[in-house]
Amino acid sequence: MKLKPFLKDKRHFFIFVLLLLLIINGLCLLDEHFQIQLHNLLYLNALLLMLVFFYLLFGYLKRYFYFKDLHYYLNVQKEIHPHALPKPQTEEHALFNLIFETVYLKNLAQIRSLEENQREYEEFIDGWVHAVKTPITASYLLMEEMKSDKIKGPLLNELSKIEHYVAQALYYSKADDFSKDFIIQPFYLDELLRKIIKKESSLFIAKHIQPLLMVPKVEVASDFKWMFFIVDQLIHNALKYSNPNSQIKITYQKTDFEEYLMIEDYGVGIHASDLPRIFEKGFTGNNGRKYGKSTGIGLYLADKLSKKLGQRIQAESIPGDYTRFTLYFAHLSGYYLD
Amino acid sequence: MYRIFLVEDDPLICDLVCENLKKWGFEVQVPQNFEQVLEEFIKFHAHLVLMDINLPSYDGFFFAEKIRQISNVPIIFLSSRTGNMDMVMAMNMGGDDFVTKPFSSEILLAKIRALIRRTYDYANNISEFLEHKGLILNLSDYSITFEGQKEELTKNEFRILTLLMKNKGEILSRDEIMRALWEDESFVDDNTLTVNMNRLRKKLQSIGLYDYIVTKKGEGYYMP
Repeated sequence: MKLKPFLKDKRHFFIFVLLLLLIINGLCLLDEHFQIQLHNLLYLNALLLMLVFFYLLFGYLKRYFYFKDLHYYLNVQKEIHPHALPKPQTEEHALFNLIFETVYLKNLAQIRSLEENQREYEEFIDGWVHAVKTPITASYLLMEEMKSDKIKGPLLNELSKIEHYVAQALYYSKADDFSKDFIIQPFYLDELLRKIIKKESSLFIAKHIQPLLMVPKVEVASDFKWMFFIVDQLIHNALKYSNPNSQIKITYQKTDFEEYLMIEDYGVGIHASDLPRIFEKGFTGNNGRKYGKSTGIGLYLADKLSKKLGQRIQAESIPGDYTRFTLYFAHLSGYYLD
Repeated sequence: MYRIFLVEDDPLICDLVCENLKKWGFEVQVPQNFEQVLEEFIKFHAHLVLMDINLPSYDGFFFAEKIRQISNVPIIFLSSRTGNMDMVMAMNMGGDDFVTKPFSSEILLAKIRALIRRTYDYANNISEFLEHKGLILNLSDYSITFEGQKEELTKNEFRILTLLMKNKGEILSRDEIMRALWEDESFVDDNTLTVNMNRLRKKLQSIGLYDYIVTKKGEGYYMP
């Protein structure tokens, strides 16, 4: 503790001492019958002031070490725990320590119960997603028995959308403890894309959109499952906003410095004012409002998960013309390649 | 006839898969009691096991491991679980393949056929031919034969013909045919489908089959 705040804390004591000295000196000087020599009075004053000084010095030193401990506790020690607090010096300190401990324990209990709720909720979502896949599977199998494509086609589209939203729910709940379930290993990028196109085939066909898959047989290192989700979000999005009878162009590029996948659709595009915000959670923008049924979750999740994989997504667009999403892969071995 | 043991607790999926497999000439059995999957498996002498993971009593991993202790029968897991750990677990427990829900019966069938082909002496017994009005479609070498005349089909032509023959008498829309082709990763557009269709018809004509596939304007195609 610095000297100044200490002295400031002691201001009432100073006034008190001053008052004492004033009374003593006043009494001695004003009373004619009081016999005391002047140098003795001065000596008395000096003695008293000396005593006050030593009292303060002792007090200051005691506080100095206590405050040093407190500062250490607050700034240096990583874990703030009531039991690590410096020993109380006064009854007040003891009481404050107790209050702190009470608040601490109360908060701890609250955090534990929230964490427990969160975990239970995640478990529920996980269970729910797997449970709902059973009726979805049954519906697909049932639909195979259907004769008329007039109903079957659109129904397939709707079912594929349900599947899409279910996947979003699952990945949303898992996004935060992502590290528990990912395996980085090389896989063929074109294979991943073919699987995704296959999955989205009913939407492609219904809108008569042709995928232009221009990706060579190239290996990338990432987690297949999470990548599947991310790229599927981008392609699903492209399908949603592109014009019927158009194309979705998927290309791959590799330079000395980077490696990326581009997904380009030709449709409504994204307004320049919306563009910087499309990866925000819950942002739906002009298109979302106009075309409805946008949750503002797909791109948010794709972006968030990409970052966790060390990748990034960029979007460019000219409204009414095209939208291009570029996914940059984490470049691991670039330095060693020629 | 190949025997397939299907361990799946959802009755509807169970029925639908059963029916489909029976259509393709497999003998299918489902366990009556999920406590005694192993005992029923032993009794049935299955050639292949389809195993759901989430089951009422023990899970599919448990039974797969038990089966592995006594048999090398191929096991395909059916599951809605998609976690990496689940896949690894499935392989560790002796699974040969993993089909994630939702799946189409086409995919399931393709995997079953591939696995049976790999495990058992192929030549016999899986129905390797489709027949309709004298036309024989060979499913293993993509060829068609009619009154002794033979013609080879491309993959797309083969896929289209299979679909029409399997659904004979029913009208199939162009979208439906396209979806089936896309399922095989042949992402054809409208024009390509028309070209494929015309080539297929020419090949049919070249072995003496005229008007074998009928166009229903605005609706699709069918095989009378």
